[in-house]
Amino acid sequence: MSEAGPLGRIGPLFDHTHDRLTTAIIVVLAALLGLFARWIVADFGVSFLAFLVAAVGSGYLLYRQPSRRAVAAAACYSLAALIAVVPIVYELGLAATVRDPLRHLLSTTDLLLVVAFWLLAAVPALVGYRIDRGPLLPRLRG
Amino acid sequence: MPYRRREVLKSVGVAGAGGIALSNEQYSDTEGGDYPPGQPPRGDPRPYDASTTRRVPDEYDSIQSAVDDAEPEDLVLVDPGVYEEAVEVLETPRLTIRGTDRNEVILDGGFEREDAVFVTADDVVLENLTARHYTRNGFFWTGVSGYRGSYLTAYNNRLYGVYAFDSVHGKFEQSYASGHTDSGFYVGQCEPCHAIVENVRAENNAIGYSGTNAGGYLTVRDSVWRHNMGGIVPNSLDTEANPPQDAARIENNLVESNNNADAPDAAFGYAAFGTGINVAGGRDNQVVGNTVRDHANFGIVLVPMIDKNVYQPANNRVFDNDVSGSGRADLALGAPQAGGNRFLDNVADSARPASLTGGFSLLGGDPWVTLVLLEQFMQLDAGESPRGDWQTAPEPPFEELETMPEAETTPPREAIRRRSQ
Repeated sequence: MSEAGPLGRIGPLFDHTHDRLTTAIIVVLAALLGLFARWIVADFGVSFLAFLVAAVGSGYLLYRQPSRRAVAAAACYSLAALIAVVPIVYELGLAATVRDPLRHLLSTTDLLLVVAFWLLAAVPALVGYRIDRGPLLPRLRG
Repeated sequence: MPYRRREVLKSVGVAGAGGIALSNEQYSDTEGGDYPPGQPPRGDPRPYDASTTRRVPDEYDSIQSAVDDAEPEDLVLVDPGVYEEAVEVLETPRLTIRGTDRNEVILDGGFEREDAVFVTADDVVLENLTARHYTRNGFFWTGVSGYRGSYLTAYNNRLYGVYAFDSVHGKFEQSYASGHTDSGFYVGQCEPCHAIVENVRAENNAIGYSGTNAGGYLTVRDSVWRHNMGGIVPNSLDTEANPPQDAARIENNLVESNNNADAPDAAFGYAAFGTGINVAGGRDNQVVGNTVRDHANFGIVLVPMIDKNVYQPANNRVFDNDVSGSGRADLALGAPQAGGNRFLDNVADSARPASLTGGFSLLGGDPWVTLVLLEQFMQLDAGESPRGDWQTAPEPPFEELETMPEAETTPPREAIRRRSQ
């Protein structure tokens, strides 16, 4: 066994550390994203598991960002991703329990639901982009 | 700490009287509403002292002609046959129309007549009859005080099976309804209703029981609701007088597998698809002691009703129910909700929000629940929801439908005992 132990063999989890405030923000954001994921998948009885995976996963994702600004942007992207999967999970909830699910799911209303949530997801995605890369319109004009 | 009346009763040493006290609670505790949801004790309807029996077809060639000749408290006794007519009882109170054999005395609408029996006179009793293929309703009372439907079968009529609208002091019992695009049994626009629905069975309808703006001394109990789109749905709507729905007691029913996408539907059914007991914008209701299982969406759900106004569920009590096998959640409370909704002592595996079964939740009501039913309503409104045809819906299991005992010899009785009697 090497002196660094098993973790030492695969390298450190992060190549940097954050200050206390940034770390606290990451913990809160990860918890909120975990709660949101838990709410989304509650139909499937895996709420705690979803919370755990989403909170730990997003915590890892956020902590590995190099700056507080990048953390905020990554949190917005994560939120956008979760909102985007809401209609998919929503439809799966019914598809898993009814006979002939396509009779229930292939409608204009279902399509509108998907579009509505993806439009909603675009809001935090654009906010994240703005935080990460600066104003969007000058880039488009340029 | 939720208020638990039974625990309080036990703590003061009156457990022996607890059963009586609890049963009294249903009609003595108004929970903030104008009227209590349950029933006071009532006696059996009393037989009329003197009545004339008018036989169809022996004495009259149609049910309507016998009705036209009848005096109050008479009995129109109908022998087996298929009667292609739409009967109206508009002026003769306390009349009884009874078939001698429930499954053999059939009123047939031929897909062109409107109502099998249409009643606007008080205290009219319909017993031991079958109605099919009418373009509106099977058995329909409207604007009456006193009504009863016993041993009735209504199937494959376009709107409602057994239907009381703007009527009070009534009872539906020992009856069956299937294949309707609205509900099998309906009690609507009454407060207080002074009505009981018991020992009935509804299958293959858009909704098993619907009660729009109906409450106050209104009990739905001891019945079977299955294979409809939605099971038991008390609801608030602006299209009828006196919203919101307030104070019904739903007790000891078997509610199962109300996920029938092939049931006929026109107005409201798919909005309640996959739900067992669905309180849509109601207040002060009691949902107690029901067995609810195998629903695609929610077993027991309280959800806001969106019409011209938004009616939020409030002060409903859901307790001592056994709920299982729900696709999304056994117990559910939609958002927005007006507070006071309590879920106590239920057996359930899942809930939205999780706090209904003791879990952690940041939410009082869960918007996901509302989203589910709103999305289904939008599908229905856009004409995209699955549905069957009321004219070709499955026929009832006639061999399982009990006929009225001693129908030929039992004297006619009053419709229902009023509370004050």
